[in-house]
Amino acid sequence: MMQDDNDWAALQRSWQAGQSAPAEPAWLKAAVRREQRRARWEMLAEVLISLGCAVVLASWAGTSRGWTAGILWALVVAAGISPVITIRLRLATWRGRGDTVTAWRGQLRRQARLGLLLARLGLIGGPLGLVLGLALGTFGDMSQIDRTLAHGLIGPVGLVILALGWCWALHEARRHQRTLRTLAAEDERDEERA
Amino acid sequence: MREGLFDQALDGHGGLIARIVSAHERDPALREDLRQDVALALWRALPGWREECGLRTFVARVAHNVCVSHQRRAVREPPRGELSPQLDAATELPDAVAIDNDLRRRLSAAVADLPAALREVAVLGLEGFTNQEIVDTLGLSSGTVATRLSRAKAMLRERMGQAS
Repeated sequence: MMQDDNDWAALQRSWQAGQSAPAEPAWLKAAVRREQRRARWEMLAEVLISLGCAVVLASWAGTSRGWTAGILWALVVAAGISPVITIRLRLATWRGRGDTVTAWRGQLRRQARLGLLLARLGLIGGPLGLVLGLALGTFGDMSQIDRTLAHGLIGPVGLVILALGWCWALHEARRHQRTLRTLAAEDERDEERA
Repeated sequence: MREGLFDQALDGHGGLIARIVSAHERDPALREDLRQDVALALWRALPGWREECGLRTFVARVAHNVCVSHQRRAVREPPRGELSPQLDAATELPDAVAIDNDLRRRLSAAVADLPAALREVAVLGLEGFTNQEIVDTLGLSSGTVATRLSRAKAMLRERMGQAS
């Protein structure tokens, strides 16, 4: 018994003396801060793009008449509140404790579900915005300058940006689907073990 | 507040995180990713720490949870006999240091070969956690912890004996 205890204590000493990487955790802190900065920049970019869209749409709405103005003002409101909603949802999914396996997986699952939802909205929203922009530019009661500008925005550059955004949304949707599948597989494995 | 606590957790328990991660993932590249995931998880979880357990236990709990969620990657079989550059250098070191490094390498391999249920208990036991701290960290019953720890110790002794 005494010999077993001595063996175990020797193994403990050897284990604790071992390091798989330098003890200096500066790179870990840097990585976490980089991740935080990335998240902040993403949110800022989202807010700026939404506000930019809202400003352009508001300027068009101001010179449009009838149902065109109504649709444009509705889009201004949507562009203004969408970043508020998505940021609040994101922050809510980040506030989990994650100090049990179930809580941690639940947190990952909520984040993945939200990411999937936002990516799907992006996949639908892009082409929808294109169709709506073309319809307003063609049939809407807008000033000639705004009509030209609207068609210009949906020109080749606009289409390239839209295509890139759509591909990115597709990539994100697949990534979140993979995460959800992995989590489901882990849950199943746990149930089998239990 | 969170910044200070995060620094304290990483400065004080960076080695603990590294060892828990290395017990679950032997591929060096994936291990680095996993360490980063643990650090991120810790950053998110720290505001929820209510000091109902020690910081070390909390850090181990979060690290363990993240590692469990990465089991898909962890179960990937690594190439056998792979040595880290640090351990490769052992051949050029004085005998005592080389022996220590060899023991450490064999112990690492023996821990990684344990079944997952025993490995998670063994890692915390080797870290010097008491049975109660292991119970708090893993959320298992004290009986289960005692049984698994005893089996893990026996298997480790046997494997270390065979390897020497």
